[in-house]
Amino acid sequence: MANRTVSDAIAIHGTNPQYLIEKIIRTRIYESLYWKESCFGLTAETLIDRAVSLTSFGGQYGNQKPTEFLCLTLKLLQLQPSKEIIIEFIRNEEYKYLRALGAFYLRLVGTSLEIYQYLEPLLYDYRKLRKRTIDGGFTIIHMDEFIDELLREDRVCDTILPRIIKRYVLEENDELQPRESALEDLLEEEDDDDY
Amino acid sequence: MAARGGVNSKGEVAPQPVKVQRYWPGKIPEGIHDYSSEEEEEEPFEKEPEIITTIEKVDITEKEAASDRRLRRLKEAKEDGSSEVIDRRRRHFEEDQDVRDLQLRHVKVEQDAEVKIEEEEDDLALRRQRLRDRVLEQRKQEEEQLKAMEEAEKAQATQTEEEESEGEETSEYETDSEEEQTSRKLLKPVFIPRHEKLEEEAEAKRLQELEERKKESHLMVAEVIQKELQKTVKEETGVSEVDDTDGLDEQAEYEAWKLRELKRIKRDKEEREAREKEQEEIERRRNMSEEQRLSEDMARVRAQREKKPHGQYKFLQKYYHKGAFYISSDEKIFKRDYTEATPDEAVMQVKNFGRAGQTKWTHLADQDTSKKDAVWSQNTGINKSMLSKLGGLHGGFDKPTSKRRRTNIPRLFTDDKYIFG
Repeated sequence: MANRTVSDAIAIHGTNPQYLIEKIIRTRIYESLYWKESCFGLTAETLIDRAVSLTSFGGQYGNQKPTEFLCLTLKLLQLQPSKEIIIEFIRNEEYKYLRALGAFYLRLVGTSLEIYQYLEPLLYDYRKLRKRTIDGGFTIIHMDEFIDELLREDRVCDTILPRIIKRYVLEENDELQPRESALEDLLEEEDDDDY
Repeated sequence: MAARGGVNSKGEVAPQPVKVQRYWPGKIPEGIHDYSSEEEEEEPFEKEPEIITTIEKVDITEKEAASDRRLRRLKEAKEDGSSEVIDRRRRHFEEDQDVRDLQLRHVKVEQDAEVKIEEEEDDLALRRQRLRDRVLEQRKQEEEQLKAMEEAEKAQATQTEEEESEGEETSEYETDSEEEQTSRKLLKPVFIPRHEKLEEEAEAKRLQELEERKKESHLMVAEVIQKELQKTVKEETGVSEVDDTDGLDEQAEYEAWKLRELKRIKRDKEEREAREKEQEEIERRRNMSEEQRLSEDMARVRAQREKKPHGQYKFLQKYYHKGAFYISSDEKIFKRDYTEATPDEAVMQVKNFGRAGQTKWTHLADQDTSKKDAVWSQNTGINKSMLSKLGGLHGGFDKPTSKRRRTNIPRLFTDDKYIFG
């Protein structure tokens, strides 16, 4: 199987979805052992098994090798599963790396509104994630930090994220309600108790 | 071969010429008996048929038998013997009895004082006859036994052949080994002295120890390799270094998240305020006249300059920007003042610093060795003494021939031709 996108894929951001991963990293993924060994012939269903068995996420590590997380992201871009599947990825509570993968994929593919809608609830998930750094080591990063990065930064996991409409613009256009953090309610309650 | 005696024509006793027998390998020489037939002839009891015949010739009449007890017994014995020939089997069973009888008779003969020598001889002959018969009988039996054994072997052989035909390899092997055993040569026994034996034992022990040590070291190496492999696997997955299991300290994790969330809320709030402020500013400036706006801008610029003094650029100094793409935003390099002068180093204070051309020589003036003002071109004492030592720089040129004429070479040879010719 050539590394072609599925024939019935819809162009995302006006281009082949695989092109959302930059050329050089894409080439490195195609040449990586994990891609050849574990990502061959995957479907949206069998990909879940791979995502569940992930132990870390990240962009490139060591000698500029792509992580398994990035390989699976490219596989998702190649297969282009339906949005429901991705939302299920994000909604699952059990497997945090599957959730992270779903969130990352949605950030690449989804519209701004969808992204805010589905990713902001994840800011309450404070589970630990193991992030693989470029020097080959690991650091602990929490899910809420990762989601915050996805919403605000323009380069995460060595991938340029597509531009997203700023939240306040959507708020001004009445497409989105201003974000009310659950913590603010809690604090207010505490303040009320103090008085 | 001994020379045979003979009488010649003169009647004298003279040795006859001997016919020399040539020996041919594999051919029986003439005059040599056939050993196998000879052996049979030499059987102890078969050499006396004459005696037996004489005995057989003697006819014992009924009268004689009645008168003499011994003769009667002889007659009986004779009849017995003839019957023995007919019925060998019976005789075989009676053999022991006969022997005993014989012995008894012998004793009787000895006891009898009136025994005659002739009669004694007769008795002896009879005994011999019987013995001979017995021996013959034994031989025949042996032959029969041999025959039976051969037959049994044959039967066995056919059986084994049948087994072989059935395709059993084991029987084949057995027969092979039997053949080998029969054809195998025995090794010559070699004597090994005691001290050598001891040495051998020590050597064997040493070898065994070596083997054991080898095994041990092999195991150790395997263990080490396995440990390393496990370690690398752990490093690959990062399990050993960084643990990502949740819920180890639920409260602390929650508190940490709370802190992060608060920071985010604060940041968002600040951003919103900044936005609002900017919006207000925009509104305010829109309401101002053009002159007011300009004067305000000038005042702001002046204030900025006063607040942050601009570093003085030196002669030909340029502002360089290193790629910010791969540098994280909180790096020290972003807070640096790029208008500052570079440290007082000649390397960097050149036109177009860092360009490829900077590493090459722009001209060869300082590489020129033919310059008049160079140290080695001046007329100093050191240079003079140096020149005097150097070859080919003394000045002047002597013809080799003129030099030779002046010198007095001792003439060892009168003939110049051989030297200088």
